Amino acid sequence: MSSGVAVEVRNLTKVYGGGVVGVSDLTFAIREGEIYGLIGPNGSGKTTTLRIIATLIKPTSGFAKVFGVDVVKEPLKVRQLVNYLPEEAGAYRDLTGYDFIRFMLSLRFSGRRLEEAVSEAIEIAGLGSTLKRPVRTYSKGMKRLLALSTVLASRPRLLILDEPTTGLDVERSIQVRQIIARYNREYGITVLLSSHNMLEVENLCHRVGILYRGKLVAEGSVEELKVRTGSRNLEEVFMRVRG
Amino acid sequence: MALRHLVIREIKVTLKNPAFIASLILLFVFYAAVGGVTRVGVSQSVEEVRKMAMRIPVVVEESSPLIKALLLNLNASVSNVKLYQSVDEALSENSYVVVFPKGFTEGALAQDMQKVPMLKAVIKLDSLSQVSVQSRVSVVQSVRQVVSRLLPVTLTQLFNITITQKEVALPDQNIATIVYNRVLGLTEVNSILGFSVAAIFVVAFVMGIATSYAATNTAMEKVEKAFEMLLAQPVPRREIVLAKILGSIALALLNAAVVLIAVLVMIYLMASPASSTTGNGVATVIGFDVALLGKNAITYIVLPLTIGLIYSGAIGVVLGSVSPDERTASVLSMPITFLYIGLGIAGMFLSLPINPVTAVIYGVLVAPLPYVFIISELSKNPELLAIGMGTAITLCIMVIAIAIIIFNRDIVILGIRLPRRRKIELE
Ligand SMILES: Nc1ncnc2c1ncn2[C@@H]1O[C@H](COP(=O)(O)OP(=O)(O)OP(=O)(O)O)[C@@H](O)[C@H]1O
Ligand SMILES: [Mg+2]
Repeated sequence: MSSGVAVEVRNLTKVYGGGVVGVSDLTFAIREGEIYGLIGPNGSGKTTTLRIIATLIKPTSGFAKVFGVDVVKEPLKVRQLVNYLPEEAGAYRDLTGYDFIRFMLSLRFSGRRLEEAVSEAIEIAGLGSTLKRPVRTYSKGMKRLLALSTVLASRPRLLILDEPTTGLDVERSIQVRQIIARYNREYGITVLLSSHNMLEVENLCHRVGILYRGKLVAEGSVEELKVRTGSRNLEEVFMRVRG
Repeated sequence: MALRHLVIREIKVTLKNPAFIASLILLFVFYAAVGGVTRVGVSQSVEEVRKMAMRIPVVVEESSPLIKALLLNLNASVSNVKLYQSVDEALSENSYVVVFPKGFTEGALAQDMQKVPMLKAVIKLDSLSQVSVQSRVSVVQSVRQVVSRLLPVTLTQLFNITITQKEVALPDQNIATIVYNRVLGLTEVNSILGFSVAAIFVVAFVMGIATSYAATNTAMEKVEKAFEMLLAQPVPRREIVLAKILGSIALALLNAAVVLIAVLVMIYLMASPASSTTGNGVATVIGFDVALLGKNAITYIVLPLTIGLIYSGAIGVVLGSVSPDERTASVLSMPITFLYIGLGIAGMFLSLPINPVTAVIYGVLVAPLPYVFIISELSKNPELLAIGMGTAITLCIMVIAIAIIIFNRDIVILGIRLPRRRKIELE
């Protein structure tokens, strides 16, 4: 396995019970240190792809490797390299935000490193004294920030973020994007994210893959895609490749 | 107008939940099964009793004209009386014997109304179950009734006197049972059975609590949307499963301890204004049972309880992991609790002899293991216990393995997919 590849997906197919096709014959690769964005309409297979790479569900056929480690054969090893923000991330209702951060990070770290990670997450969450309140009193965006902060603070080699800024206000979204970019730059963390926000993808992602009905219909840097389709922005690219 | 729609919605959402329908079916099947099994047991013992009553085996320890006349009357009015030289001889041919002990005649003739004629009885049991004990006791008691009825008639015949009716007595202390080649008083037998029912109930009850905690907490984690994040952490799924089982055990024990203390407090408070001895009464009953069964009584409960808790916790985790939400999980775990308690105790009321096959069944249910413990000790038959415990431990490990397998599969994330009639369009 060449050291420059963070994620390798080959002929990946997922058929759910009842014959619903999640993704079909998907092949793509993400280079180490890259921020890769998956975009596509609702039900196009973004979440399915991310869940497979995060070892939560198993592909029907094909394979996915993270830094050369097969997600089906060695899921535990992959989980050590990866952290995942689910599409709908919540937290335990009756724990405080602080307890949640501590619990999640204690599954990865201990001792001094744990304390550092907890402080880092508290800073990213930016929820102040709210962290001392039970999660059931949080707004939707606050819960999202809480989950996001623990995932980021764990500084995995690969971050998998399913619609990271959905539900966040404009200012918070910008902040989160800045943090993602900073973690990518400073710690060399590879990022795989999905999004419905074309502006976000255009500003943040080095490369983009466009999914349509479970198939990858276009891939490349935002500039490349614009040139190839003669579009002014990613939104136009999106509409054109969909055809 | 709106109310009608609201009410319809309330009912509809539950009726549309497949788990609810499944639980109703399960409950129905369960009660029908218990009824069917009990029917078999009862009809078996009714048949036995009918056979028993066809001949009355009697041993006379005191020969008096009164007893002779009484036996003649008994023979003429009810059924064949057969006299034996000894209890052993009688029991080699019959499953019970009525004994006219020394002092019967004196009791019958005494002017003192406090003195009554006493009978004795010995019952042979092939199994220690509620039904088999009760049915045999009812036969000897009905013999006593007939003797009681014949007594004044016989006295008139013999002495031409009419004396005030005296009841012939056959108290529990005068009934001995022979079971597994040992002699136990009826009171002892009843106390052993009572202890067994209580132990089975306690184990089954705590198991039910563990299952429902494990199931609802596992499903709750999904509803709270923290589950996917947890499963993406570098922790072996096996540890997540074990943590859930251990957590549910701790919660179930806490819950059960509070219930136990609350019940004791309730009994104490109910009893204290009237008399101060009832509180001690409870302790005496428990103490008596423990004394009777020896120091092992605690083991009889603790060991099955430990296995039962791990087993039921694992079952709960399995149920919770395939449930999409905690409502489904609780709907599924409710009938399971009924099964633990109902089937656990049902066996005791049947005349099911404990043999290797039933020991396996009791092992599957776990809760009746205290009963198996006692029987295997009384009958000096440790294989029965080994079979029961072995089955329980094997199943326990299997259920844990199933839970771990489920946690390593898509189903834990996607939930169980119930077949739908609706066709799903492709492409
Ligand atoms: N649990 C499931 N059971 C059956 N089919 C599913 C399941 N989850 C997803 N699918 C199907 O798989 C396909 C891809 O879904 P997926 O969630 O990956 O889409 P997505 O791109 O993330 O959509 P969105 O933008 O709405 O989040 C859809 O057709 C969906 O209906
Ligand atoms: Mg999605």
